[in-house]
Amino acid sequence: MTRYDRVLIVCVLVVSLLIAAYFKLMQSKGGPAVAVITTERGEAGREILGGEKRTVTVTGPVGKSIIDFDGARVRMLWSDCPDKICMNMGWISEPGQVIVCMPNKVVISIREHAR
Amino acid sequence: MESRNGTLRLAMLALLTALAIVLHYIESLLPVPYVMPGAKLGLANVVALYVVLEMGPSSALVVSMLRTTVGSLLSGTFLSVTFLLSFSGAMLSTAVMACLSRAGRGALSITGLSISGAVAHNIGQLLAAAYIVRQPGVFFYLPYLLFFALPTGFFVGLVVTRLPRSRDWNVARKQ
Repeated sequence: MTRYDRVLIVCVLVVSLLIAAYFKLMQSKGGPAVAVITTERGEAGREILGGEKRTVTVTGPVGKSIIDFDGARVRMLWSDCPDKICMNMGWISEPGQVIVCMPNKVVISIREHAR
Repeated sequence: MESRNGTLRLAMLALLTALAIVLHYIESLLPVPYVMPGAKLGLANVVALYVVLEMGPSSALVVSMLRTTVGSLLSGTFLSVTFLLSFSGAMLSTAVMACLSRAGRGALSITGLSISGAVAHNIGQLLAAAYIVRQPGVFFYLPYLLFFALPTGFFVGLVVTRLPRSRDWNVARKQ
């Protein structure tokens, strides 16, 4: 390990923290969060979190993606993709958090409510 | 003598490419404990870094290109999203390790080169992901991936440090 190795490791840690802080700071202060669903065709829907339990189905290149809203949180309930990574990501609820399904090109991101 | 070295070089490259493909395939079979999408050990990076050090940048880029292409043919993911992510990650990672080993001669140890390669791999992967889904939001995962890149890059660096180098064979032959 040279001195520059240590500099590199410290830089990587600092940059990670800065990026994490950037996504954390996107959290709204009290305002309701919205889940924005995008597919390869662009924005497919926008739902304010905190409402009734419901599901939304969108389609992508490999098939269906079923998105489950439950109170203030949202998850990928079912996806026709082969790897199921998006389903394994579980629930998200904080602004800045993202669920991505790469094969089906579906992204659920939580943002602050538009003013 | 010239052609003998050329043949030796070709044989070495073929062998290392085969090794990289096997490592790539083994890694795709490993049941990664679910922690983070895209976080993995980077076994094939051992070969990429070794080729960068032993045979130069262009050979390393060719090996990485062949490795991701043939590796994806073996696992049946050729031209799928999985392939695009691992291809862009591997190419950026190899390019960064090659540049740093040339430009910063000796500034970074082999472990340092390996860690920068692991970091570049994650960045390349996420750039491709952001392009595919047209959402910069995928960079949300970068801090977590980088956090895993440090220990895995360190491990790969340790392995490469312990591999026999050609200059050592020459010393052994003279003795």
